[in-house]
Amino acid sequence: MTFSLFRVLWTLLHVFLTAVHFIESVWNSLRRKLDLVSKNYVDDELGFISRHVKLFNKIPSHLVVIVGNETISYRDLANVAVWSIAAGISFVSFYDHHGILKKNEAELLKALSEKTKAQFENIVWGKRTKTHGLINKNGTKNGVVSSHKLHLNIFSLSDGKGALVKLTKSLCQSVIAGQMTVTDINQDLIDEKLRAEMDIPDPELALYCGDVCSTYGFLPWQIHVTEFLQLQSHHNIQIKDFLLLLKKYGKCVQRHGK
Amino acid sequence: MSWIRASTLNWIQFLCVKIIKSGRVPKHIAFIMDGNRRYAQKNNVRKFEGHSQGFDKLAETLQWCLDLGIPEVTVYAFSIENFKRSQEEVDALMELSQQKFERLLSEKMFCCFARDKLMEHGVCIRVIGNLSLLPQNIRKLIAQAMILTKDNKKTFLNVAFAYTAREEMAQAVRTAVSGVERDALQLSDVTQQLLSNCLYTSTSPDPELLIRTSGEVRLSDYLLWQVSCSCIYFADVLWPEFSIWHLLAAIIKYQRSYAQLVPVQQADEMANGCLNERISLFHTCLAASRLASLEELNHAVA
Repeated sequence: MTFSLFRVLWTLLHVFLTAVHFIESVWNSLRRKLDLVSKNYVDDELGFISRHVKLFNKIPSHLVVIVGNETISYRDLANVAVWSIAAGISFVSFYDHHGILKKNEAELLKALSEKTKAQFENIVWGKRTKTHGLINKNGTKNGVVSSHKLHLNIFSLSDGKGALVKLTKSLCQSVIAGQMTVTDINQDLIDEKLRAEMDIPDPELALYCGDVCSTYGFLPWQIHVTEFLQLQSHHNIQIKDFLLLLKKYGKCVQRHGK
Repeated sequence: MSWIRASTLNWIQFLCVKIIKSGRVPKHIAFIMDGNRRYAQKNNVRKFEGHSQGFDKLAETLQWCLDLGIPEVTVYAFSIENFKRSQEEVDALMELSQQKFERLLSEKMFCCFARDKLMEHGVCIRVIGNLSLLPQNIRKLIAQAMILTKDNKKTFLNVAFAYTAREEMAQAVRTAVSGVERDALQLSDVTQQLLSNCLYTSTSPDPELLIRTSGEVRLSDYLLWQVSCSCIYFADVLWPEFSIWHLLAAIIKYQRSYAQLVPVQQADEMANGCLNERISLFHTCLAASRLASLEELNHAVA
């Protein structure tokens, strides 16, 4: 039967691709280990980062890591947060659609406090974290953001479409109460309300972990011009990988429809 | 050049299509056809020529999708942001669209004896976007094309025209709120499912694969709500140079990815909220009122 012949060829193709992919990933992890051993070990890793990012055209003010289907490595996420401070990034958000990260926020807190004593003070826990109320005694006043602080947020699936549903409900109540009319509802109003709710600028750069490029349901409203770059895996992410991705982002040009 | 053209595949390509097709193919692909102007610049031709070749590529790609057995395609033809381009270019693009829509409609006129190609292929054309931003003559042509093909059920071509996803979402929120205001809906009916039903794409399944050409790696305000569980493929090729090989590569990538996105889809569906009769009725009424406004456009004097 001809059909099954095509199917056999199809299966062979995918087996071949899987093999190629496997060899590639073994090679990559080997190289990573070699790198670690031969070690151009950097003493002052934060200084190293700040010196490097000066060469890039632009730095995102809001970076998102989309964990995707990977299991979460708190230590590595803590590294990304600390490196981001050194790179001058003001907002970092971690997203996992399962909501595991949100549940285990304390682990991230612990990993961060182990990683750095000095930088820990500079981390502002965002509105979407449980730590927000506990640690931020001062918070951000009237949206004034001091540049050396890092605002950290954790998001899960329900923060995306769910936030828009919640907003629609509250708009319904306002309209019913006569505080506004339906015609007042437009893009700017929604943008303003969601911004007030989330307290973050739109992310400029999203790093998705793993082989599958997808938004994984991350904040549909906020990602209209976000650049998506692949981070092979956030496990054992090295400063080199981090800087390479920022460099790539620096080269992205946006024309905003023009 | 027509909207659908005869297959241009040679036998090797045809064989590869057969092989890829024996696996799972997406039921709905969305395209961002980017790079027409860069192509024009690269080849030292006028911008308009780039756009025109881009349209030809669309016709070719639609044929490939038919060959692959993909029943639904959504393309980003013109963003609301594109109105910011020079008047000359916007006018040229509108002119091109007008020409193509006229062509689409006249194909019917030509063939009094045989049914025209679109009808023969059973293609249903839907234009998604804020039509009120478009010139009257194009709106009328769009309405005519949509009404002519509205009962076709075999394949679907959605054209995003004067579209951005944020405008679409804002419009959906407004529609839902007005439904609650006039008591067609209750506050508890405001769910994720309801908002999906109020989008321009409410009658389409979400795209399973999104392909963006030209090497840019962002969504540019396109179907942001609908692609939340889709596989995204960024092809490093300018749209007029897009080939069957690029399409096949994207589908292979999809075949290797979709299983990993199933859990995301399930979680997303769980969050939809329950569907009740009021929501279904509201959806039906909305579809009817949208059709009515198309009929009105169709009959309006241009």
